Amino acid sequence: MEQPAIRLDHLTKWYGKQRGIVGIDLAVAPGEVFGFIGPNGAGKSTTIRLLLGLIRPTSGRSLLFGQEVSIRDAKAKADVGYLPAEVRYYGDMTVDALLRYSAGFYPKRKLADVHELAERLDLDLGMRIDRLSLGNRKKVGIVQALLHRPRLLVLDEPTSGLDPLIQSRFFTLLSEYGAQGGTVFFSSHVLSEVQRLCHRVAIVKEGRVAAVEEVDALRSGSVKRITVTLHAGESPWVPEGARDIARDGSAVSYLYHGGAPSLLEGLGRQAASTLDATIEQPSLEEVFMHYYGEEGA
Amino acid sequence: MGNILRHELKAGYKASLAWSLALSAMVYVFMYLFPSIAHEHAKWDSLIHQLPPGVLAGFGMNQLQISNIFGYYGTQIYDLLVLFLAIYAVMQFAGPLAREESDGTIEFLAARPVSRTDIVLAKAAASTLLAIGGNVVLFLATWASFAEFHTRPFALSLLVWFSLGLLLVTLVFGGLGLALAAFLPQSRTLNALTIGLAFATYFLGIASAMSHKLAGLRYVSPYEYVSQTTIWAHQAIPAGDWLGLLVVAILGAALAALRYRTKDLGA
Repeated sequence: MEQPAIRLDHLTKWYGKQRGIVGIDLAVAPGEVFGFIGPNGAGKSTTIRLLLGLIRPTSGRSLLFGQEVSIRDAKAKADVGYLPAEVRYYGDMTVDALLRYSAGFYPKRKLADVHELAERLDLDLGMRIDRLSLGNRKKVGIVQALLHRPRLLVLDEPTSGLDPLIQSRFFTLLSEYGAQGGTVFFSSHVLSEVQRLCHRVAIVKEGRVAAVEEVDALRSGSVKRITVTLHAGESPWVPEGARDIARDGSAVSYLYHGGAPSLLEGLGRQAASTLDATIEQPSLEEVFMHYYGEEGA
Repeated sequence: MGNILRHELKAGYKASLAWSLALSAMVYVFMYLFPSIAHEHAKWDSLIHQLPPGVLAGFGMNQLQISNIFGYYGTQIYDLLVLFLAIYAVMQFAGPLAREESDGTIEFLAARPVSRTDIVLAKAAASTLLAIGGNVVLFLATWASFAEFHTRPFALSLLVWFSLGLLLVTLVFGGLGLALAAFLPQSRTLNALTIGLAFATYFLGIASAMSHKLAGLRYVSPYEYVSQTTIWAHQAIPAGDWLGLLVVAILGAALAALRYRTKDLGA
């Protein structure tokens, strides 16, 4: 059987008494585009740093293509391209020099076409790093991550700082990379971009994986926030399994996770006495708090 | 490893060259004054010997005569060079490693397929090469100024020993700098500490020479092993001493590498 691109075995990290992550188990198949979502502070970056051997696990282990990651042995990293959340490179180097330095760590690799990548991302290779805006630094990070044609891309909040046009070009690049068989580990707190790209997602909360879901399933049964106001004196209907229910007289607001038909049918029964009704995408934080939090505990 | 080495050499050679040229210029200016001072040596020597014997011993002036070119170089220039090189060495060796952590660039480096030991050793090797290069420039400049301003023939071998003394001081404080950088990468504390370390051990050496009660302290001060009085007395640096200093330098680098093998980075 083919080795998973990423395997985390009960991976745990404590920073002294402060929680990093606790007992994360995960497997990402080669060629998969895997989302890793959760609010800030959930442990996404800690997981990535463990995955790259930047920090030592308190217990558990991580493997890349079957090879154990250790902060002493760096071989496992040869097949990884990494885009950090905060791109911090040598300020006194030009973009071109930095990319050449980076490529020098993979001497046996056939490199991607830097000029083509730079052109597609609208990046000036002659600029000094410390003169670049946040977004442009991110672009350098993207080119640097793709340059040595790694089998696995690890992206930590890759779209922050990118304008919408570049974001969309970046997604095209990622789709092409995925189509060529590349594996992507995509960490984000923006549900919509993960939904757009990924096959599966793991939802992390407070250092643990609360759920791993197929994106298609997530989409069909996505969580919605329902707010209904009826005529005074009427008591609104609330479907079974609704969460975060807030009643205020004849008005009610709740989170609903289930199929649309049964929801619409239930709401329809009170159609005559309904003053106002909204169905909207809840914020990711709400979804985490009221769904994955309890299920994952 | 070669990649990091090349990168560090490229990043550091200009500062290193500028520093050694500045020191070379200083040596040249001091040596420029030597012929006229040697000419009036009688006056100078009697003037200097009016100072209390303790003070003379502290600055190593009790054995060397200022009218001798090595006496002049040793008391007027060499001591200063030793101190300057010690301070610069700590910064030269600690800087490239500490900056990676304080600037956050270590995350870039540590995500490459290169081991932690290789990162530290490549940086140590680059700083060592730059230090040797800088010391060679300084030696050549000193030799040139000796050749130009000497009043009597001088032994080149002794000048080589003095220059090796400077190189040893550079390497010892470089090794200590590496260890400091691995344990305390926060750059502000680091700069204060390095300068403190260089000065503290320097004055320890002086204090131990001025007072018999403190004589034991001289063994803690790396300067003492390569002091002008030691070199003058032995016309060389005793093998045990230079070997010991090299071992301290290597231990510093080893300690830094060991620390990096278990250290959480970019967290």
